[in-house]
Amino acid sequence: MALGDVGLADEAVDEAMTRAVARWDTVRGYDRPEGWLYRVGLNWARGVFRKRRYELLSDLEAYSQVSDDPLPDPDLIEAVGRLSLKLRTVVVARYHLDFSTAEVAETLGIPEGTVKSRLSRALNQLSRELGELL
Amino acid sequence: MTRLEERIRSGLQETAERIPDTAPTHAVEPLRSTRPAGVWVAAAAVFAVLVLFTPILFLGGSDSGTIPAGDSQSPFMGTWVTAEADGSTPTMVIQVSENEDLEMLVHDDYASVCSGSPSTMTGTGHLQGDTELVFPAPMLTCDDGSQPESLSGPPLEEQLQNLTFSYDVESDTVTDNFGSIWTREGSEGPGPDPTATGRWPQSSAEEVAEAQERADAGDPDYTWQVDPKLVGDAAPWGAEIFARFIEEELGWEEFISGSSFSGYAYADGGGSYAEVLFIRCARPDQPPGPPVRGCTPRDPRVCANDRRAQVRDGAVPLDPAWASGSYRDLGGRAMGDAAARARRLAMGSPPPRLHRQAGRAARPAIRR
Repeated sequence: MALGDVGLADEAVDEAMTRAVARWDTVRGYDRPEGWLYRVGLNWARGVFRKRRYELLSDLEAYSQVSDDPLPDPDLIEAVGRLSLKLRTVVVARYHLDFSTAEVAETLGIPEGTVKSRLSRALNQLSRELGELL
Repeated sequence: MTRLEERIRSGLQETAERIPDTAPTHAVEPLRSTRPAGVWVAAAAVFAVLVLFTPILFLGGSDSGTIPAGDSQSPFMGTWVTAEADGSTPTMVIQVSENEDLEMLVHDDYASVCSGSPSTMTGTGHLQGDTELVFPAPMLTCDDGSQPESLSGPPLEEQLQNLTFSYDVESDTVTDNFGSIWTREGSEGPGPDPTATGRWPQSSAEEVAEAQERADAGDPDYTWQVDPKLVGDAAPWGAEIFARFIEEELGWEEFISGSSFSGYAYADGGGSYAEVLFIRCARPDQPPGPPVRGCTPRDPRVCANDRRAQVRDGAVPLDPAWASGSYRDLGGRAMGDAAARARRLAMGSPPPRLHRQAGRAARPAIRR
């Protein structure tokens, strides 16, 4: 599967969930606790990425691992994977988590206009790479 | 919703459903829902995002089980760093005041609430139990004198009330109530990365200063280091400093480069190229190396027109800010976070001797 490290992702969720549970009395009061958790996960990933950005070689090698269970749309997944982290997080939040652009903005702590801008750029890049019309 | 958007949605959804069984059991099933409705679903989503799109990374080791001996009073004492979702890398210092209160000083090199300008936040807090530090009324100011503004929700001042940091002894990290995870400065792994902290081709601030003077004087032996491609929306992978570094330092004969392998952000979104990836090509007489995502043997961009050639020996990501910083970091200070520096440049504060090049990014280039 064209992916990163399942164990690492597992650990990330544990990290986020541990923090959520430890502070549940507070987190439960948020309008969108799932947004908080998403952000914790992303921040965690960003932190690790920043620490180890030069391990990208390993990332690329890992992506070369082919799973026995082929991806339904490998071209799409590869193209999404080639988006920058900023664009990718917005795309995933918008199209996988089904957040509105306002919710994405709130979750990531960026203006909604920036969300729209990043979405536009992401779609342009994906359109170009996938040969799909916008 | 366009056809492309539908394809993205369904592709992500179907791929997420194929997450291996090692995923937490609570996380798999809710992924089939089209709309997350709770924290467990969010956990599943985070898991899916990380599994699918997070690079293979290795956690820096940290001693666990004991509170670090940074200070006998509180594990919060010390300097902390985090990486925000907006790309900034704030630094926080927590220390004891003369009145024996815990004081916080946070400097953010790129504050969204200040329209991208740096910000400073201060506050006096108190411990709540052993693992929580609360700042009832932090003060955040924009370093450029502008007024900070909340991006959404209540006024910023209100949002910052009772800013709480929770300490996790196992990981020696703190999490604030905005979800940012702070790690102790200096705990980022085994030693600095040479390209993140070093300079090339100069190796000291003094050499850099001298090189700058020579370049300013038009010395062709140095002018190539001052490359406008390194700034803003130009195509940084085309900067000569990269090619020279790769050929002279790494000894690669042939490589490809481009944003397709690293991604980039744009100036209007507060970003710039955070990373440009260079991938070494195999010679035709060499056995092929492992295929690399986005750069397969059937990819016509790979290694000129030799379809037999494949990528081998992996790739090296270089940071355009690192390259430009290796030359313009005249102050002799550490490079710091190169991406943040690049972002500042893209936001309109290029260094005096570098000039932004207009125009959109070019397609990935093949170099020989």
